Amino acid sequence: MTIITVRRISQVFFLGLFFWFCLVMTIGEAFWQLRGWPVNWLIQLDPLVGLAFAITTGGLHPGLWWGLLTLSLTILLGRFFCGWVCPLGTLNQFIGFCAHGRKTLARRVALNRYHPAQGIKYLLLIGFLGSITSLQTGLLDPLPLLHRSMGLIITPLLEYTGIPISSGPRHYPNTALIGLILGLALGMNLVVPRFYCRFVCPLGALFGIFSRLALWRMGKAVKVCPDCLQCEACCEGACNPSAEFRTSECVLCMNCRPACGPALMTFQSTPSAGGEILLPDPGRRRFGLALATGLSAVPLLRLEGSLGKNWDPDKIRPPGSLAEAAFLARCLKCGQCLRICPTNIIQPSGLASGLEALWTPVLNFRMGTSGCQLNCIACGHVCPTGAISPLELDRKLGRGAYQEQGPIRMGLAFVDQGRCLPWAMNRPCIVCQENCPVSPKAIQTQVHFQPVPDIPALQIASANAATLVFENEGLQGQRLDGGDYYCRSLTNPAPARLIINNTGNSLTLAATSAPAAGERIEILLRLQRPWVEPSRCIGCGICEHECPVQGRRAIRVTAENESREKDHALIRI
Amino acid sequence: MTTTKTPQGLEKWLGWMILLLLMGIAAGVFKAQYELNPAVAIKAAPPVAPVGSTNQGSALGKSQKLPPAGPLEIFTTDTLADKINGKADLYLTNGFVRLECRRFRLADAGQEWFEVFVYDMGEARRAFAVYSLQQRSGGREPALAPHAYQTENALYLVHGQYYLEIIASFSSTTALDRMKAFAADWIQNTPVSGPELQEAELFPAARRVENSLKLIGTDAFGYEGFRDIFTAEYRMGAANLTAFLSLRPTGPEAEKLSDEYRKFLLAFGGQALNPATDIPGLKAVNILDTYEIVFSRGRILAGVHGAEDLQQALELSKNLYEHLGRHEK
Amino acid sequence: MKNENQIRPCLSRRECLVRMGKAGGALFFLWAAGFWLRKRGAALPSDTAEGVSWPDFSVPGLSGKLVAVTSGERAKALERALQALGGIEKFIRPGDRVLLKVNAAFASPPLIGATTHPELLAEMIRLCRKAGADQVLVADNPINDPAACFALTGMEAAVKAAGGRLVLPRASDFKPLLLPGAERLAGWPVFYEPFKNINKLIGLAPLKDHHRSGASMTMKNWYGLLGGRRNILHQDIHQTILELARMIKPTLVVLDGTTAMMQNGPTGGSLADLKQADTLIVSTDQVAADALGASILEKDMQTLGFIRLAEAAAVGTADYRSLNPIFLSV
Repeated sequence: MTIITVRRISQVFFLGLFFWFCLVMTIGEAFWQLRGWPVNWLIQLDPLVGLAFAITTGGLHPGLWWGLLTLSLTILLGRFFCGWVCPLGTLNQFIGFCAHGRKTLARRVALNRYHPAQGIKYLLLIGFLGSITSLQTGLLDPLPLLHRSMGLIITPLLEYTGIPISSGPRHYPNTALIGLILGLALGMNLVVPRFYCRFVCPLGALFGIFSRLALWRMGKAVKVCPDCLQCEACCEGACNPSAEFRTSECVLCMNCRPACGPALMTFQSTPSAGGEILLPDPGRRRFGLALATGLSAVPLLRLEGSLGKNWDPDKIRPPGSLAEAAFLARCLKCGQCLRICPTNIIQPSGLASGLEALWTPVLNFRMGTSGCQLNCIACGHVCPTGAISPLELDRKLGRGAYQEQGPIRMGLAFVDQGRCLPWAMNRPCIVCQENCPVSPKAIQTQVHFQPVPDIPALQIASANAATLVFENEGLQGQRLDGGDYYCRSLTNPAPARLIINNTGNSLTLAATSAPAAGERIEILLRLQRPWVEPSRCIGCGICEHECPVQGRRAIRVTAENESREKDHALIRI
Repeated sequence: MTTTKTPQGLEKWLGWMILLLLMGIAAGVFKAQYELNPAVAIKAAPPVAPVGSTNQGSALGKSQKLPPAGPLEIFTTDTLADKINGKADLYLTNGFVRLECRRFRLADAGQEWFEVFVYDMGEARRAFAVYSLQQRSGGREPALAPHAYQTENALYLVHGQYYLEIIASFSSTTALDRMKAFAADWIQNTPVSGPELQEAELFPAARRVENSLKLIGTDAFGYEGFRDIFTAEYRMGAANLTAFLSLRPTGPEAEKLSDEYRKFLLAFGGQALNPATDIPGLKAVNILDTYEIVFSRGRILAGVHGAEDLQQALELSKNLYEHLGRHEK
Repeated sequence: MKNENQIRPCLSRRECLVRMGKAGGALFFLWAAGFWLRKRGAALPSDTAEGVSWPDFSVPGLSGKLVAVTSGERAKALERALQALGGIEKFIRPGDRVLLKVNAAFASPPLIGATTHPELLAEMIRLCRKAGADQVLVADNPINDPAACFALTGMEAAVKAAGGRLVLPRASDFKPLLLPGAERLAGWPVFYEPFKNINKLIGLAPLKDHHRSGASMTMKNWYGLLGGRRNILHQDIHQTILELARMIKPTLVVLDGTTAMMQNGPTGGSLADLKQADTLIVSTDQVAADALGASILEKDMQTLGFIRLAEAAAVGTADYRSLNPIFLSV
């Protein structure tokens, strides 16, 4: 078994592991569900996540120390991760092989020759790391990128074909750009193999920088070789193995080793006999420009005031999310929370809500299957960076030891009286009140009796027990039997009484002490108009989801009162 | 220089090591999935009963003759430790179901109070186990219940599946009288069903030390196979001997267990003895200078534990065997 | 003859060392930075970001002292014991802010000896006050109904009368434990509020049998600073007690064996569980105090894992005789 075979096994293994972790993203105990699968492990192995996190927060989240292991191995061996572990690298290599594998030697040599533009990825890395207040590496870091793409595009597409992966077809808005980036990352292999790895990948750049320390590296054992260029033709990293060896570009695919006729390519402790270039020199000016761009980008984006007075009330974060500044310093945009949410309400925010927060999780109660479920704490427990805290259920609901702090509030529901059926259109509806899950209910109703405009006052001709008879036939039979209609005497002040049935000229009431003959009555419609008690509402959005006004809902949650931002408090609780 | 395409020693070795590492990773991932994510775990866990919630059906919740000095508190398996902390284990390992407790004032005026603890242990045997495990020296109170005793400031008894503790904030005879009246009243108002403790009757009364009946739930005498073993002390001359017995599901099972106990003793350095005796199937073992006797009669396993004198142990065994015979009929 | 170009290059020893040095240095720096960052980032910056700190409350030069007073009266015994140690002034200076950690675990009367006796507490407050303490706080976290526990044990009244201040635990008073040395307890919620502004800590523990740990004495007393569902920790009680004892360095501990609970602890309930042992122990070594306490409880030290562990971890010595203890009687 050659080392190439071992490498391929390793690549397939980690790609399989990655697919498996993407598949098990539903809550449940079955082996194909979340259970305890370490679904974030590959993200944790990614040292760029840890490094960027350390820069933005000055700490290291539990689990991210796995990245230290990867970096340590890189210091010993070079960019092994790119060639042996990275699932995107494996996909790129596979597509590249399919597209170019049968081309002539000369064509392949040309495709796999080092290109100065491979230095761009180092500038991208510097730029991303320059974003010291907001974690932005996840945009192009291959593991968050792949997790996001799998969770928000590939698996939903598979579900459309009827393959049951989660509870039902899922919908995510603002994913076109995610799809475009994935398409480009994979598609560009048709032009140049491993295009993404060579020119774009900031993680590869990070490994490239550390590979200069590698104790063992690929290289020529002796300087002079037949120059057959077989090694160049199959080089994944485009690192010029036959000439001056580009150590930082070598992804340790080892293809050159068996390709070399005289077996001159070895994994050795000495620098390549053909000479080696440890890192491309970006040039001081370019380096400075990249850093300056990174440093200034986020402050520039924040000029719009999104963290201050101009905060976006529609940006409702998942339960347990940190305050916005801390949240943005941690959120990797990996999409794990969006994928695990059992009701599909966690959605990626789009470009409209600010470039800085692109693809960060926000709640959208119009979509999905319900609001935020009371007994669910899944999003915080799959977040690899703690942007959403891993809450205990007691903490989320404000029970037990957390009674005094109260429940976690994501926002507050507001009734839009201009759209709400009983408020705006005198149509009975208490759907939101009925669905409010907190106890006591946060949605209360106030009763309002509205005279029915098209039924004039009626004169009672005779009354017995609970039946009132009128002189004229004028009513539409059984119109008033829905339980919403009442009648009230205009002559005798008395409480309104419930009508249980009617004919053209009579009413049957629920109560026995009915108005007497001779009295004039009016027909009333009983409306229960909802209002929200802000001290009880947790912003779960179930009311918004259930509201029958399907377009813009008549009751909507906005981020007022959210627990994570004290400044957004609407009332003192 | 030779050109070779087949892997050489180091490469081959390295390749296998890497594959081994991959297998290790797979095993690690597989192991990790057994530790459920908290988000999954809460779906599987039953809802927790709130601490201190009141319950209409509880015996202590009903109006009592004495004025309550505090709210009724209810604790379940999850919350028992909140009330009795380090002692919760003793109850939990014995099948604890629920604890209700409440404080009552002794009179309308004054600061003196007592607290009533009603431990629902699920069945009479379990209630007796926690009762006997905590038994203090004190006077028996057979008038209240078959298993009841009092100390200077407290009253303890078993009633059906319930283990009752009444503890006063000070010690006086009037307080004890009030507590006894309370207990009698509570017993009257708390009907219980289910089998009584048959084993209590199986021990011969002659020479039995008062209040010495105990129930050991698990690991009696250090032997894992001994569950639900009742013991009683006997005064034989100057020495105290411990007799034990246990009801097993069938006769053969009792016989088998007695045999396994003998093997257990022998495995730990005991010496088998063959004393002259009329008890069929009696096994005697000398271990650490004490004598262990074990036999079975019908579905009852019985014996004598830790006796210093073999003859006394055999005599007690004979009494026990004969008494069991009477009971069989 | 081979061309010079075909000779395989070889690293000189110097080059080799330099490269290994660089790689090693990078690895070292990487992991050192990783550990440092990990420690900093252990807590989430939520409402629980601030961690608890337990500084060393012991008074320098007074370690390894132990006094045992035989007396039936707690107040007198305490005063006498402190005199033997050179007076309370040695431990409490004018302006000090003192926290007295009592055992108020149960809502049970002082009679049954399951909690710190109010007379002992009152005397300790009085002595601290006399020594010029600015503030004397009294705290414990009985999980179930703290207000009732302090009221019924008589401690609330004692604190009021003697001029101390009771700190009842509220849910917001807990912070995760982030001290180095916390393993099982790392991140565990700890009763933090009373520790905010103090510089002296005294433990006042009754001497009791304990169903789970064998005995509840001065080291087990720190358990009452833990919040959360601490019964989970009972699985591993000796290690947990050890961890607490290792992290908490009190000014003094007092172990009250005036009426020792010999059986059915930690709740007891009956006077029949108590023995008039008439001994009060005051020490600056919690392990020694507990070792002496164990002998009063007639416990075999080998069965008390936490004492063995604490001695092995050099928290103190279980051989209290080696401290030249002072035995007095009043």
